[in-house]
Amino acid sequence: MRRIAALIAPVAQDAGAVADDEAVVEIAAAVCEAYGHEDAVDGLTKAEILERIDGGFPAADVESRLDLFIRLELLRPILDKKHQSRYVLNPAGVVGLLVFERIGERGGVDELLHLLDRTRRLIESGAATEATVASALERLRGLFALFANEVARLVAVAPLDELLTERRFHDRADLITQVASLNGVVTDQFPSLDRPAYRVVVEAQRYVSAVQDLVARVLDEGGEARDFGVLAPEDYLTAAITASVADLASVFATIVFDPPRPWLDAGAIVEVVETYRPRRTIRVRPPEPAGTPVGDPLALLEEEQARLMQRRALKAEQHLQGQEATQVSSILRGTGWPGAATTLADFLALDADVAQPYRLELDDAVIVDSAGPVTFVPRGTLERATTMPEIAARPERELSAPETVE
Amino acid sequence: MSLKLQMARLRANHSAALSGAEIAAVSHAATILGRRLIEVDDAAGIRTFVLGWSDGNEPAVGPEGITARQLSAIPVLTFACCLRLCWPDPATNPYPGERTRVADVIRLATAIGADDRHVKGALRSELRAAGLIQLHVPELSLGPAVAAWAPAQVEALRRFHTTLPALEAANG
Repeated sequence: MRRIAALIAPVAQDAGAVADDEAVVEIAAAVCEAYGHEDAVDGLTKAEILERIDGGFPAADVESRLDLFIRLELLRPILDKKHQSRYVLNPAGVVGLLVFERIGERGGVDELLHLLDRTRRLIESGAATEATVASALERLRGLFALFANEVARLVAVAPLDELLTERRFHDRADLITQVASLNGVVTDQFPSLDRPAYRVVVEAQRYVSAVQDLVARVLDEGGEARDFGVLAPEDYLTAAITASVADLASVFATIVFDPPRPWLDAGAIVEVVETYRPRRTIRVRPPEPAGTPVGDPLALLEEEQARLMQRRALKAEQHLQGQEATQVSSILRGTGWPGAATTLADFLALDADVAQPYRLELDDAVIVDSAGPVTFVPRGTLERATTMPEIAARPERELSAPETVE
Repeated sequence: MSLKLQMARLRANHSAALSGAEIAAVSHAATILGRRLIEVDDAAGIRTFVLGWSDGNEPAVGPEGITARQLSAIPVLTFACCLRLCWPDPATNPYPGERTRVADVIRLATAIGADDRHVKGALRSELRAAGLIQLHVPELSLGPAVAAWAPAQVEALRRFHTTLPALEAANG
């Protein structure tokens, strides 16, 4: 509304000419929309307008605004006589509403671009005189100077959230191209206006430089604040697609990552306790014999796991036959089905276990043999590393934890 | 070691040893961040701390908040058994609690219907990796992650203490 107040200021009677509440613009838009149908050709009564707005706003507020619109002739009696109850909409008011919306959303730099474009077209069509071009160039120079001064002021004193709002008003990538284009046609057709055209370019460059300063401050302060709102979602998508891996990685160069720690709160515990139902019949464990020493059930599980891995390692050695590497496709075809699946699963388990020196590298290619013992056989190599990886010495807690980011 | 590094160390590990002026500095920094420093034990004269959330500052995890990795049903159920056995008196704080036998936890969880192997797997990997339990075979105790719970979480669990699985029910 501050922006609209500045827009209205040249014709305002007093400082209270513009309402503070943004809802008044929405009511005006709703009133205009009520007239956007063919049956409004004979005008609408206040009651009909209220009915079409359909309770979106308090009735008293709408009626108050309707009285104001009638006084300001946004709504006019359908006939220029007394006691008319039907009103038609003045199109000038609708255009004004569009201007307010555009100024509110785009700031006003659009008007500058339109003036640039209009001046260039006038010159190209041959309809412009030297005097009109000189006047347009002076106006353009003044507008660029105004915007440059305003942006420079914002860069110096405005808080970050205001800069973020202003930034989208000044995001005009083609501005300098348009200025250069106008400068070109002025030089060609009105050489005497070369100097004023040059002054427009200078002011435009000063404005662009101020906008760059604004963007730099937004990025610096936003980056320090770890505020992802400094850029539009589209900017992040563009960076993800076009930036190099090194540039993208640099974003997290100073970020500390937590190890994965699952979230567990009281609600989750109580919910599981109250809702857990076994999927199968519960096997009741027999009572523990009195006096029997208690073994360690977890140690038994670990021993069983160790034996399984030992069997897998022996199987890998059997297939390697003393070599450092061997092709898995021939092994799998040789074992047939379902032995191939078991063998491949064993190799994958060895590869997944960092304590084991075996690595399985699979190609993208698959051997397809519909008549063979195994229809689809992956190609790849089973290798035995000559040295054990250092990671094998790490504690189990770290090894079992996949990486996630908090 | 810088304050930032100390904070990172506390976040990256379940717990970290601090001494002298470090404790006050890290505690102050944690308070500013909506977290709090909790001393978990004093083994061999080394003061060890974990970083917990202050009440009201925990992240909003769930459909309307952030997404966080959560434990599946069996590990949560197994932990509920551990919690009940290691924390018999709800009037006290759950951490450090009491030690309990691993065999009792397995017996309690399987009595509810959890698979024996899955319960052992949860004790051996998920719950231990999350710092929720510490194994001292053939016993276990609650881990430092329990010490980091916000007071409101503990209070909520106190109210629901009677609903946690109890060994008496398994025996009955």
